[in-house]
Amino acid sequence: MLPIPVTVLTGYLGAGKTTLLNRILTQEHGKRYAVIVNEFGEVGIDNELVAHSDEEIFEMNNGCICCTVRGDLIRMVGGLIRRKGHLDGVIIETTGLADPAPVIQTFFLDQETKERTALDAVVAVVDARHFQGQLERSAEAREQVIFADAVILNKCDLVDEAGLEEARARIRELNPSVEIIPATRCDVPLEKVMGRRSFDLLRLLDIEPELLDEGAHEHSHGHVQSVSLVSDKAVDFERFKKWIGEFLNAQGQNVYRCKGILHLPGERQRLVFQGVHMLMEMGFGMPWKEGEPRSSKAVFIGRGLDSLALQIAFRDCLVTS
Amino acid sequence: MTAARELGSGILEWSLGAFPERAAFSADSAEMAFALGDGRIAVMGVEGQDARFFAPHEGGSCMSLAAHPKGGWLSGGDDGRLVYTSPEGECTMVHEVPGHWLEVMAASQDGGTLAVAAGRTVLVFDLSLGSMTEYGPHQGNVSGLAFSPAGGILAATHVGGVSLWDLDEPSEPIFLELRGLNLAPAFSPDGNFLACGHQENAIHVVDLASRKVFQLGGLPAKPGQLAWSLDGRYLMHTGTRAVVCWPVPDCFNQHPEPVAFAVQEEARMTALAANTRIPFAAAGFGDGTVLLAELKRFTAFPLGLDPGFPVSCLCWSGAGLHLACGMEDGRAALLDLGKMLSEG
Repeated sequence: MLPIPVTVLTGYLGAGKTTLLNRILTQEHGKRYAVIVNEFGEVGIDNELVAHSDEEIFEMNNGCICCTVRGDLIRMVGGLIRRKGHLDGVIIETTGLADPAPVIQTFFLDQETKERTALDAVVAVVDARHFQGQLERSAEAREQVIFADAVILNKCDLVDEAGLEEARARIRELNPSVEIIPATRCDVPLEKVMGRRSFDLLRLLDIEPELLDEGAHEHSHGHVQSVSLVSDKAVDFERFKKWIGEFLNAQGQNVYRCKGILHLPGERQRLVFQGVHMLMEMGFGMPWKEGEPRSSKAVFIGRGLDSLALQIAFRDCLVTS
Repeated sequence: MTAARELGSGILEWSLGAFPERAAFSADSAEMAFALGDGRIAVMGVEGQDARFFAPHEGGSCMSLAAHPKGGWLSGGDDGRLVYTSPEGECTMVHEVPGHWLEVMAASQDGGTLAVAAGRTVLVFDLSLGSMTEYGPHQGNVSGLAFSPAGGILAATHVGGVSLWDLDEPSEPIFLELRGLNLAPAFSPDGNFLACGHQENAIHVVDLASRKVFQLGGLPAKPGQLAWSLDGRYLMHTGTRAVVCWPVPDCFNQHPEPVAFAVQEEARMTALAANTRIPFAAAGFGDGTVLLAELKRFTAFPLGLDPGFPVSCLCWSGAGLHLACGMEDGRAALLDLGKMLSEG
């Protein structure tokens, strides 16, 4: 059986999540989505399954604070899996003040959840007018954008062209690889939100091939920064695996997201990796096309990242001959 | 109505058309029932009668199921309803907790007491008196329930620990602190030990008299279901690629050595049920294998079921002679142990 796609919908208070959700649920698309919300009764959603949830963040026995997950979420997603065949997808709406990391981590951490669901995308709704202010006040507003695969830049009608550019620049600083979709009252086509299959990064690169520019560069805003590593050389997989494992073990708490595509010697397919904090997943992605220039790219988003050390370590993983 | 198909000696199979979430046998062990992901329950006689379908949770999902001691079934759904379905199939709502999933349920060994979790509280129904008592609220949503063998204690697992309620004195529970999200409590047959699984791939065994705790971490997957061997000497759990028996109370010594047998290279255990009459346990795996494990000689043999889809639930009849199996693709199977053994 195919895994059920899961979309995580995030965004700061008042950004327009509910508007977006209602759009998704009321459009004539012939699909059945289940919705999980943190705050029961926050919005009235007709004819839909809304599961009640108390916030549950817990520490693992080893006390690793970044490995918190939501037990409730696992329980609820597990419950929805039983409706397989009757459901086209699951939407998880996080509260406006939530850090989406534990939600995303759930899909890495819990084996059953991981096997039966496919994290489709993390979509963040951003209020074009108030984003700047929210960033200054709230770490969560930042994290929501950092973890997103797509940002719906909402309320574009309320700002002028300069304001819009400003908001775009802020988003790019936090997450250079994110797709930004401008919107007014969240009037975005459904396919921009659901069924994106963008969590695996490949589609994103198709949409915005320039997002990982040649050469390493670094953005920073507050404590959050991103480091991009690019090379047209192939990567020695054993060396890379060893390095990234050690790096995440030591620094994982500072790495909000990492993702990348590697060119392995003699390998027809791209190797795709993505991680959240200390957790990381690797797998083969789409094959390289005939005659397509092959390259290896990686992005790290986090705080306190040593850009130079990352570049050196990455270079050491490249096949030199 | 769906007819049974004979798969082999003493094994019947039905197609139910929906995810079987839980299995239960009727109080007289003459019928088995499955809670289905589409809100129905399926009821079949152990003689191989056609499956009959009832819809106590129409439009929702049926998530928990138990036999009523006087006949019929009690089920909880994600519609927040606890429903009684009579042997004739008439559905009556017993209780409703809007907005909560009634997923976690436990019945006392005699079936006379039923506990259902609704968020942070637990509702306990005395089925002979028809009364209900609320226990809680707990620290977090209740993730597992179990009655002690004698029926006097109810264990409720949640984030941060286990609450033990004395049902005769429902004032304050005894709280056992166990960090992490606790799941699947299981009392040893003599009631001296309580074991529980953890979301964080660990199990704990608590010696209830001394409060000593045996902690086992780093398991390959979440031990979501636990079971004790009939003699109480071994604890088993799901999530492993074999049948693994942890010795109790030997585990409280330095280096407990578990007995592992019937290794499955390709799949991990997804469902587990120990027989309460004979030293047998049934173990279901992610590839559809159901093993009958013999806990005296530590051998196992597979039932002749079609593989392919994970085993979602297993349940032995109270008389210990029948095993109900549910598969994620909507199949249900029944093993008649007596028939199988007599016919070889």
